[in-house]
Amino acid sequence: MTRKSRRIYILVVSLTLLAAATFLVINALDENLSYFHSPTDLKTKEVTIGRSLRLGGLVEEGTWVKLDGGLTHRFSITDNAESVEVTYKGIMPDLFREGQGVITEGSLNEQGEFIAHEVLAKHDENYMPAEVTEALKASGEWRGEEEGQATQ
Amino acid sequence: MDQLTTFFSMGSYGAYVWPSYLLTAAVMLSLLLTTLQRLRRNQAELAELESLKTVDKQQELQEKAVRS
Amino acid sequence: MSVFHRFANPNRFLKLTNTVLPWISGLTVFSLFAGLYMAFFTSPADYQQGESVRIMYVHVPAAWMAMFVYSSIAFASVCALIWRHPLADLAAKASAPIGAGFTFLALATGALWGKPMWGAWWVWDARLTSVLILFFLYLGHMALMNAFEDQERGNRAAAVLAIVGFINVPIIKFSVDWWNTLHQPASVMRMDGPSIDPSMLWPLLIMGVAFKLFYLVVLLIRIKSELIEAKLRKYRRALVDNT
Repeated sequence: MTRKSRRIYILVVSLTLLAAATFLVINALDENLSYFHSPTDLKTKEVTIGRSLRLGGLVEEGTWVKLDGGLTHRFSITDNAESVEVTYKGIMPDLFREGQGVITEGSLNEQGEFIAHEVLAKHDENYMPAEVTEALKASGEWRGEEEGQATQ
Repeated sequence: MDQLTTFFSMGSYGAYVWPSYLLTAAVMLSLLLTTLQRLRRNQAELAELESLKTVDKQQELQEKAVRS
Repeated sequence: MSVFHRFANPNRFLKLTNTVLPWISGLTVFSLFAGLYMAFFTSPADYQQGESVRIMYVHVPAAWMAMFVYSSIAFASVCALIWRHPLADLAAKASAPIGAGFTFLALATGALWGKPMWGAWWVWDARLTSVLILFFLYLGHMALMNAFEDQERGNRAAAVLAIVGFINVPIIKFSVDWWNTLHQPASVMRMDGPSIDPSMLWPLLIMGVAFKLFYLVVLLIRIKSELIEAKLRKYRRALVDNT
């Protein structure tokens, strides 16, 4: 074996080992690497009441209600399988709207409601001018919301 | 004038859009300028050393000529 | 590898650089201004994000460059370790500050975009965190290069770091698909084609090209500068030996 091919050999072997190690570490950490839980996670897994966590999904259509003159917000977060009711007191980000992705940080209370102290709006990967969405809606080919759900 | 204010307000997002572009310009310009500055300095130093070398050689030749 | 061998000759490299540099510089300026014009005047506001979407035209190209420059450094490092090319180490050394600059820009413009849209400057999701790690990898690479008295050892240590750290690049790319993140999935480089309207995609791509050309220009000048420095070191040594 020449020195050059030995160097190639060492490099390939160590890179393969490194990739395998990284894969194992990432696999083991999988749960912790996710930034938020889905409503299904909350319903199916053991969740300690009062423990702080993040809940993410879509704001369910027709559930956003403002109380106390707009200071307190109530809405449901859904992943199209389960949905969780959320209460939040504070200012909403500009992108917050029904049908859009959202991530909230807070905890579950005894009634199974999620009390959020922070709301982050998630935007989807679609970019287009407003005229295009209007044209799509007019022709009945608007798929923006479904695509948003597919990303959850 | 009105058009200009609308343009600069960026639909009320001016406070985020303009700093993004200014920051980008600042970082890219400083990368380019420090790179050019270093090249100039190195080139100048190289020219100086090279002229020194030729002077040395000329002196050597002259000394040899005087000796012989 | 014969092509690399040909350009690995420093004198040939310098000659080639001097002929192409004016052309690439011209193209960079042209594409940068074309991209900026389109970003501000021909591209529309987004249906959800309004005018704030214009941050995309610097944020996304900067993020692309952050990953592209790092991949280039990793590739140069492989060439340096295996084939011992004289120019590969120089290319890696010259690239690192440029890549660090672009990574900083991706993070900073991302914060400026995240605040109005998401409602947060920063979150510790998988995408943002892995890009921050990329920034630290650049800083570590730059530090290692200069950490040793013997330049050869510094180069080798930095090359190993660059290759090991390359594992972070696919993690950045796919973080948005593998885990729940606040950052949205890819819009341009995706399996089923871009999900950006052409009126916004074109300025984005042109800015992407402009940033790549800018990298090439600065990289070539920096390598040229490094080659002159190598010559200077040789001269200084000769002067010391003579006296």
